[in-house]
Amino acid sequence: MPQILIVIADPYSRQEMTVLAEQMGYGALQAKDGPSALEILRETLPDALLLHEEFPGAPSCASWMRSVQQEFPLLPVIVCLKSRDAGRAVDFLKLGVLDCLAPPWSQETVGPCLRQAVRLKGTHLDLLMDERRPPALSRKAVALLAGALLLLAAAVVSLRSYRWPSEEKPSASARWDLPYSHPSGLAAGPRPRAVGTGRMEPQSGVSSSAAGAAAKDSFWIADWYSQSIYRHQAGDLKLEMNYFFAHDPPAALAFAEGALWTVTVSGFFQKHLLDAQLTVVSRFKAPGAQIAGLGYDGIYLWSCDVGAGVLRKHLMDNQLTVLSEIPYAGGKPAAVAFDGTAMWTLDASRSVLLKHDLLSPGKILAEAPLPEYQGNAWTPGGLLWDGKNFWTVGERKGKTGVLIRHALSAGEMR
Amino acid sequence: MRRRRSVRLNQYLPVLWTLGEGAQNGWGRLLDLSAVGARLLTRGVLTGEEIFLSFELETEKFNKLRCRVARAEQDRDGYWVYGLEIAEDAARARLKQRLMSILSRAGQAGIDG
Repeated sequence: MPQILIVIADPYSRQEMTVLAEQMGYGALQAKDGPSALEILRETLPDALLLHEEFPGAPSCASWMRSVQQEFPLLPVIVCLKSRDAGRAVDFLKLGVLDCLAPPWSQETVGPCLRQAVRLKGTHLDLLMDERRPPALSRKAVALLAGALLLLAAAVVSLRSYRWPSEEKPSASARWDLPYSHPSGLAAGPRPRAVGTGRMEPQSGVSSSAAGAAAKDSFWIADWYSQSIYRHQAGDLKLEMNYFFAHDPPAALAFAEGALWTVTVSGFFQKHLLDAQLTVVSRFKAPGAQIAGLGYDGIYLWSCDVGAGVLRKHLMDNQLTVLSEIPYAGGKPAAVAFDGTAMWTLDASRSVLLKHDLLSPGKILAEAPLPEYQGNAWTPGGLLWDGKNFWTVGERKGKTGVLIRHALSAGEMR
Repeated sequence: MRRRRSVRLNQYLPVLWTLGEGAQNGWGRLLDLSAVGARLLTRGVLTGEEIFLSFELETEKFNKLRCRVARAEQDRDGYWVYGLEIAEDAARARLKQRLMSILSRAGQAGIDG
C-alpha cells in the first residue's frame, strides 16, 4: 500500500486529509511539524509528501521543503494551499513541487494528485530532439524509396556482416544532460530488489563476471559535488534512486562479487551492501590519495591513481591488498573498465580510450579518440562498457554533467 | 497524418492559465512546447475554446499567450491533457526563437555517430 506523509499543523485538517487518503486506499502517516516529519521521512521513506503551506515553526513552507528536497530529491511533494491562488501554485511548481491542492479537498481533487505522485519514480531523462521530418511524399514515392532502402540495407548487411562476428553493432553516439553537475564515476550494476515494506535486498544471482550483462540493468553514477550516487534505469535512463552521503562522498565506483565498491573523495575504499541505504560494511584507507577510477575484471579489482600515474591491481580480500602497481602509459587515468577480454582506460588528458593488454597492462594495444570531448570544455570522468557501447560521464564548468554513449565498438579495436 | 516539423521542448513547464479577464483560472504544466502549440496538463476543466497561458522560458516571460483548445482527453490519474494551438503569429515567432536558442545552446539534440 503506498504511504503518504501528511504534514498539516491543524489537527482537524490533518485528520480530514488522512481520512480522504485512507478512503482512496493509501496508508497515511501523520506529522504536525517539520522535525517530526523529518523523523518519519528518515525512518520510513513514504511514496509522497503532502504538506500544508501554513507551516508551523520558524522556517517557511518553501524553505523547509527545499531542505527536504536536498535530502530526498526524488520524493514527490504536494502542497495544500490555504486558499485557491493560481499564481502561488505556479510559484510552488517552480520550486519543484509536483502539484498544489486548493480547498475544499475531496476525492475528485486529491485523488489525481496522489495517484500521479505514487506512480512517479524519479525523473525521466529523454533525448530532446529537433524533429526534422522529411517532406510529405506520395505513396508511390514512399514505396519506391522503401524498396530501394531495403535493397541497400541487404547489400550493406551482406558486405559488412563479417565485421561483427561475435557482438552487436554499437548504437549511434548520443548525449544526455544529467540533472547534476559533477559526475565522476560510472558503473553498470543490478537494481536492488524491493521486498517487504520498502526495504531493498540484493538481487539474487548477481553476476560477478566482468561482462555481467545479465545483472547490469541499471547505470550507477557517482557525483562528488552533490555527494550522491544516482541510479538510472539502463533502458531509458530514467533516474530511479538517489543515495546521499552526508560525509565523504564517493568519487568512483565498481560492482564486484555482489557488492558495490566505492572510493571516496578523501581517499577511502568502501564496500557497500546493495540495500536501500547502500550501507557501508567496511571502510579503509586506499593506497594513494587521488584514485579516480575503479573497475572489476571478474577476478581482481583495478584502480587508477591519477596523482601517482599508476594502475593498481587489488586482490578481492578485506583490505583490497595491492598485488601489483603498473605505471600508466597514458597521460591522466580517469577511469578503468573491462569488456570481457581487455582492459580499457580513459585518458582524460587527451580524451582518448586506451586498450591495455590484460596480461601486461603497461602495454597499450590500441587507442580510440573520443570526438565528443574534443574541442569543448567537458572533462571526461567515468567509463563503462555495456556489452555494446562504451559510455562516459563528463563535467563542464558551470553546466550540468553529461552522459555520453560512444559509437565505438570494442570489437573494432581488436 | 500531418507530422509536426517544429522544435519542441520536452519539459514540464509550470504554467498559469486563465479563460479570460476575471474568468476562471488555474495552474498546470506544459508538455511538448513548440512554436505552434503545446499540451497542457492540469486538473482544471476548461469550459471555453480559448485559453491564455502565462509561463517563463528561462528568463523570458510569456504573458497571456492566446491559444485555441484543439482537443481534450483525461489521463489515467484523472488529469486533463489539452492539446493547444498558439493563436498569435508574433508569439509563435518569439517562442520559436527562444526554443531554438535553448535547444541549440543546451546541445540537447543527440550527436550523430
